[in-house]
Amino acid sequence: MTTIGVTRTTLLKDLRMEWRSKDAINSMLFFALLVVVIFSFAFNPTAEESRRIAGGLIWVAFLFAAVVALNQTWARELRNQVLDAYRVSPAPPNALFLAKAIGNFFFVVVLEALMAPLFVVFYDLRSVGPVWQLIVVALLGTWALVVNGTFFAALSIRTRSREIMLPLILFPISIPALLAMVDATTSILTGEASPDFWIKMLAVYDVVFTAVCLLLFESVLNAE
Amino acid sequence: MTGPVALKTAYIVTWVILLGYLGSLLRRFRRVREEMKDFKRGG
Amino acid sequence: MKNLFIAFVVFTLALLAFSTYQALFVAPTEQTMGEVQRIFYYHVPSAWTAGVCFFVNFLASVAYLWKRNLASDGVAAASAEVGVTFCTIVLITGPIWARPVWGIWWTWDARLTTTLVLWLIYVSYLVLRRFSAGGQTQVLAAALAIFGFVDVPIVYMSIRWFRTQHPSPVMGGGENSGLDPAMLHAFFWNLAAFTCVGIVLMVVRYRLQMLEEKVEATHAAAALQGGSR
Repeated sequence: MTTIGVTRTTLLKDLRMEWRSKDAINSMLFFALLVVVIFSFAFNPTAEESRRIAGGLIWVAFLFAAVVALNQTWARELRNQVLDAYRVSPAPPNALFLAKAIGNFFFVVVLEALMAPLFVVFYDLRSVGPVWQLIVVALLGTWALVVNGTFFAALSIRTRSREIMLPLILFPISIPALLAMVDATTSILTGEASPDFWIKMLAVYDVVFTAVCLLLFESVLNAE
Repeated sequence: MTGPVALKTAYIVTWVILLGYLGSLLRRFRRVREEMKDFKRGG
Repeated sequence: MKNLFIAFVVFTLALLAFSTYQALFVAPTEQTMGEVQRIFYYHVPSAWTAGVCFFVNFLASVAYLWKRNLASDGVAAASAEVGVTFCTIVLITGPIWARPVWGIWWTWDARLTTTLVLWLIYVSYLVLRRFSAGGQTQVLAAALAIFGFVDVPIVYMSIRWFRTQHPSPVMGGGENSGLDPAMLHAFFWNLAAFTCVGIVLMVVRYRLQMLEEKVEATHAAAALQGGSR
């Protein structure tokens, strides 16, 4: 089987399972909603202020929510010994990784699309800069979080205290991506600065870490 | 915090951290050696 | 081999005593900052040693993924831990210097923030090592080490764009950089001394790692033979 074939099969399987259970998307949605409500109590912002802090709020909420879904990525496969089966099969390891990463990317993008109107309503957001740039930042930023998150979920699943391990190793590495997302979003919302540097940085981050993930995933999958 | 006090604090802190780390290494050494000895006696 | 190491430890201690004497009593007092500038002689060599340790950690991790030998993994484990120790010294002596000179303990400037993020990354590496089980530790840790090392330049670039306040590097910086020769003298003695301290700590930590591996292997062998204990 080719890489693309395996990727497509695994991805469709994951999407179908998620479509039937809706576990990941529901728990992420509810979690992000809670974060939004708690932040609004904590900061109680006016429209003018909220434009400045919204970039941070949005991405912290999505980051925490994404961790909820990322933690579930490999749990099912581990429980049913799918990973062992995969290891002895001739299918390329990176196909499995790509399928999982694209699946997670899809879930988090759906979450963002559903949550965006809520942010606009709750925080009275109106963007001064062009909105299409926000979409570019969201797509690049989500991939940055998800590609490393999927990889680190594969690391943390093999440790004791799995659930807590993922944020501990994911957050430090993700700091530059998070900084880029927050700053780009703030500069677009306030329209005070150009987000170009941050968008380029996110693109570089995505390319570099996608390459590192693909390079190392086979070793991690085969780790005894 | 004035200059000379800061200077002394910084140097002392450096020494404390280095010696503390060395101490923790030696403690771990002793524990592993004991475990090795127990094992040989018991096994 | 053991005698050689003991000789090296004695040499390191003598060197450290000498370099500390140079830093505290021989080097001239800096004009604008005064006595507090002498923290520099411990602060920068610690940063240098931490950097060397993290670089060694990266090389050892790559070597482990390639060769799969326990020795590389031992070097990786040792260098990460010693690197975090020196990085901690940097992060503590820095604010102690900054308070009298800048009037604040901490600022979110490029170099400070990068050092803090570096520290966080390698602490998470140590946590991963501690919490992963048995034979998987080495591969998982090596993978994370490569991620961490690749991340450092990206962190630096992004935060540099974000804000900068740290004094520009005094060594090999712009035209106005450069130290008084007497200061440079003290600085290089300390650089040598801290590098040697780093080597000593890494050797000790490496030996400990190898010993722990041996104990674990003995346990595993005994368990295979039907638990003779």
